Formats: sequence, structure tokens, C-alpha cells
Amino acid sequence: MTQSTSLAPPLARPRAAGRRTVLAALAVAIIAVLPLVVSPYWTTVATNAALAFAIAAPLNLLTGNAGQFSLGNAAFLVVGAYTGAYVTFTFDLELPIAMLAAAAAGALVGLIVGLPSLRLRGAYLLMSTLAAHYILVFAALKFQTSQFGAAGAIFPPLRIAGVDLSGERSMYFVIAVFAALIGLIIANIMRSGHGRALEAVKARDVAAAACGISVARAKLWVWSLTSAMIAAAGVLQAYYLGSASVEYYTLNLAITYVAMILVGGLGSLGGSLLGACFVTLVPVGVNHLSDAYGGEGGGILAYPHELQTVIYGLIIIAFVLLKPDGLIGLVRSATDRVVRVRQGR
Amino acid sequence: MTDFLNALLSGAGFGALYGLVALGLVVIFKSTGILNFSGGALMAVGGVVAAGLGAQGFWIAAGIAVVAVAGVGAVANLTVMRPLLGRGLFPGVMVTIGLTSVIEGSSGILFGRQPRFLADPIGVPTFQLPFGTSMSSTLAVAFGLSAAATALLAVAFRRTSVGLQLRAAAVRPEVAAMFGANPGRIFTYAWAVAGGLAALAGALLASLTVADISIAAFALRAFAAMIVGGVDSLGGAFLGGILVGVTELLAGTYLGDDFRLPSTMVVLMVFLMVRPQGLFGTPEVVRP
Repeated sequence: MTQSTSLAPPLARPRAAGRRTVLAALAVAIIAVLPLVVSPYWTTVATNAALAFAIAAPLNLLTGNAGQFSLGNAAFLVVGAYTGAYVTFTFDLELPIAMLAAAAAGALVGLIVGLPSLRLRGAYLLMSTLAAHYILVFAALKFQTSQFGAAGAIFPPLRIAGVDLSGERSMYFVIAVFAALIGLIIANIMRSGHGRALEAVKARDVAAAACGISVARAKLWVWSLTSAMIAAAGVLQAYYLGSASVEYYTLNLAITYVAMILVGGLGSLGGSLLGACFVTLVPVGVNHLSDAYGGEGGGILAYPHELQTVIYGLIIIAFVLLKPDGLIGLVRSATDRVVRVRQGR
Repeated sequence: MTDFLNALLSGAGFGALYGLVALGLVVIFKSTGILNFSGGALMAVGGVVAAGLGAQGFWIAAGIAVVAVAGVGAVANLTVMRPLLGRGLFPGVMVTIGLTSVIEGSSGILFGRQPRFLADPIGVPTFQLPFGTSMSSTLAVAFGLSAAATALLAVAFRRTSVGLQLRAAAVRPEVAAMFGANPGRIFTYAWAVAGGLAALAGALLASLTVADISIAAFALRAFAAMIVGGVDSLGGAFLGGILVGVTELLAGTYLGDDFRLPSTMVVLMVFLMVRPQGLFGTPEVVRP
């Protein structure tokens, strides 16, 4: 037993790399084929899950890997959406340019929101992101009233280089490609020196500094980078929803993404994906149940909205108490068991 | 001038409401180290229960709501909060957020979502004061109750055995247990107190405006009150609430109603940057 554990790392590495290639190929195949085999309804669900992943994954890098607990992500989404709307409407630019502009704005705002993390920690840092959320959303409200009118920004159907991409299926592909890109970037960051620096800062910042990591730079870098990604996703989300209005960007929206990384597994990219899918599917499942059995005398199923709220809360509580490493923890223990059985141990 | 004085008076009244909720947050944070995000939901469900019993008059309805929500707080601690002790910030925040969701959804299923009203605590709706100013009687009552609750709790913390045990359990639960305190039970009391205080604020808010579960968001200012006063100071929570309430009403009077919530968040941010321990809190010393 001891011998096999000491031998495990050198043997595991090429195998893990091979497995990773297989997983990536499988993921690409599933993403490409999915809308062709499922109904439009489930394509919509998949689009929502992909979008949720593109927002949850950067948040997981910030909170799960770097240990910066933030409730500011809804504010970054609105910063992105409104920067994107402004440059699109003012200069008549294409989506990719608008997303780059939004990412730049997100990076700048993320840097500012991240500044308190140099002085504050724990509950105090969380409170500062809460305050930042309300201040930014308020600024967005003022911007909305002056630029777009009371109803918010209405986005035109998505066109890139003259090609109409506003259909459900093409929106799905645009969003899935973006989500895959985000996933690829984050996977590479997590395996790089930058990613290990973040883990070190989370574990013990003094020790990280002693190892030659600039803690301040690592923190500001991750705040800036993840905010840029979330802001870029904000543009895509606004295009997908067709409009952006301040009422949408609530604290509860911010909490939804935190719930995703909690349910999926903190600090794990696969966890972000599982959590995004799971949290997206909860209301879908409850609505199905309620449509099927919630008619006359359907008891609590006659209250689908309230029931969703309760179940969502119970899921969060259950994962914190019973499965703190999330769905990815379940997957890991299951694959470990398969490997052990195969090796006859 | 009249506007200014009115803003001060109403601000102090609203601030006292935030102080009530913040007091509950401080009691929980002080004893268990958990940052409670469910204060708003406890407050809102207190308001909904009190307004549902509105036919009994304000005081009986509020009393029943306080007892009921104190029970909710105690049950929450016994079931889901106790396993979290010592597990750090994130789990506690997430479970109290989950609890918020459960409370809000259950309240919708049990009591419906329609807004309800509650009578004034005393017959007169407003007090006419000198210089042409006036103050809602409910806000005046809120101020008095909040001040009384703060004083009562401060005395209970210093002078009673439970208060002593709570302070001991907050510093070192294991050592407190060795000396005969029962931290589990003490923390249940802390949650019950927090629930009761939040329900009282909810009942007052119900008689001031309207009661439905969406008033939960109102209690966000309690976080600002808690930080401004100092996370471990009872009197600080009350005075922090007043400061936040007055800022909010002044911003509402001179800048416009949509500046009310953001102004409290600016105060929160300024305090976090300049004086994170708040006005009366003890600075947190972290061993690197």
C-alpha cells in the first residue's frame, strides 16, 4: 500500500494527461451534438447552464482557489452588460469588440473592488463586496436612466460579421464556445505558477510571501482577471436575454453563482460545471413536478415558486453540512472506487 | 431646517430598527463567530406573523411574533448551525443564506404573499413636535424599544450567569465547557434572542409600512449598522444603527429617495476602509 502510493505520482501523470484529452474530446463532442439531438426546450436549458458555467468558473477561481469570498459578481455582470451596450450602440461595434471593452471595464472595476482585500479579510472583506455590489448597481441605475431610459438597454438580435446568430441553436453555440474558452483559460491558469500562487495565498498569505509570491499582486490580479471574465459574460448574457435592466442584477443573482460553486465543489473547474448544471436544473425539475401534479389540491406543489425557494435553500444547507467538497467530491470518490476495484485492491 | 430636523428624527427611528436587527447579528457573531445573513428573513417573517395576528392589536401580535421567531432561531441553531461551529466564514454565511431561502419560501407557502398591515402600537399616528417637526409614533416606540433592548442585553451580558457563560463560550467554547458552561445551549439562547429582536423590528416595520416577505431586504442596513458600531459591541450596534439611519434619511431628503440604500453602503465602505473595528469594537488582532 505504502509502496503504491509512493509510486503513484510519476505513474499517474501521463495517465491523467491522457484521461484529460479523452475528457476534453468527449466534452467537445457532447457540446457539438447536444442541440441536434435534444428538443429546443432542452437546448435553452443547456444554453443557460453554459452561461452559468462561464460566470461560475471565474468566481470559483476567485473564491475557491484564491479564497476571496465575493458577492460582487452580479455587479460585474451589470458593468459588463452596460459597457457592452454603450460601445455597441455608440460606435456600432460587433459582439467580440463589445466583449473586449466590457472585459477591460470589468478588469478596472474588479481591481478597485479588489483593493479592500489588501487590508481586510473574512467577514469584513465580504461586507466590502456587499457594499460594492449596491454602490455599483446604483451607479448602473444612474447610467441606465441617462443612457438607455427607464426600461434599460434593449439589445438587437445578435449578428457577427453579417451572420444572424439570434436563433436559439446558434445562441447556444456562441455561448458554449465562450464557456469552453473560459474553461480552457481557467484550467491552464490553475495548472500554472499563477494558479499555485493563488492556492498559496489562500492557504497562508504570510507563507506565500515568504516563498517569494507578491500577495498583493496575486490578489489584485485574480480580482481583475475574474471580473473581466464575468463582465464579458455579462454582455453575452444581456444579448441572450435581449435586454439588460438593473432590476435583474440583484444580490440574489450574485448568491446564485456562489451557490453553484458551493454545490459543485470549491476550487474545481469540474465542480463549477456540475454546480452550474445542477443549480440551473433545480427550477426546471420543480416546474416539471408542479406542472405534472400541482393542479387542484396539489398541496405544496401548487406553489412552484415558493417550493423552488425552499428547495434551493435546503440544497445549499445540505451541501455545506453533508458534502462540503460538492458534487465533484462525489465524482472523485466514485472514480477512485472504480480505479481501486480495477486494480484489484 | 424643518426638513433637516425631520430627517434626523425619522433617521433615528429607522436607525433604531436597524439597530434591533444588528443587535441580533452582534449577539450571534459575538458568541458563535457566524456572520448571519438570515437576519432580514427572520425580521420579515416576524412582520408577516405579527400582521397576520393584527386583529389582536399591536402588542399581543408583536409579542406572539417575537416568541414564534425566537423559536425559529433556536430551532435553526439546534438543527443546522451547531455543526458549523469553528468551520470558518464561508459555511456559516452559506447556511444562513440557505436558511433565508427556506424561511422566505415557507412563509410564502404558509402565509401567502399578499401584503398585510398592522395597527400602530399607540393610538396616535404621529407626534407633533416644536419647530414644525413631527415624528411617526411607531418610530418613536421603535427608538425606545431598541434602546431598552440594548440596555437590557448589555446588563444581561455583564451581570447574569448566562451572559457570563456566553462571553466565556465566545472566547473559548472548550474551556467554558470545562468550567460548567454549556456552549450548545448558550448559542441556542443567542439565536433565540436574535430571532426575537428581528421579529420585533419586523412587527414595528409592519405597522410602519406594510408586511410581506420582501421587507427582508430592508435589513441589509443592519450589516452597515453592525460594522459601524463594531461587530462585537452591543451599544455600538444601536448607535451604529442610528448613524446609518440618519445618513440614509439625510441622503433621501437632500439627494432623492433612490440614494437611501446606496448612502448606507457608502457609510459601510468608508468604515471598512478607515476603521474596520467600528466605533466601539475591539480591533481584530490576527496572528499571521
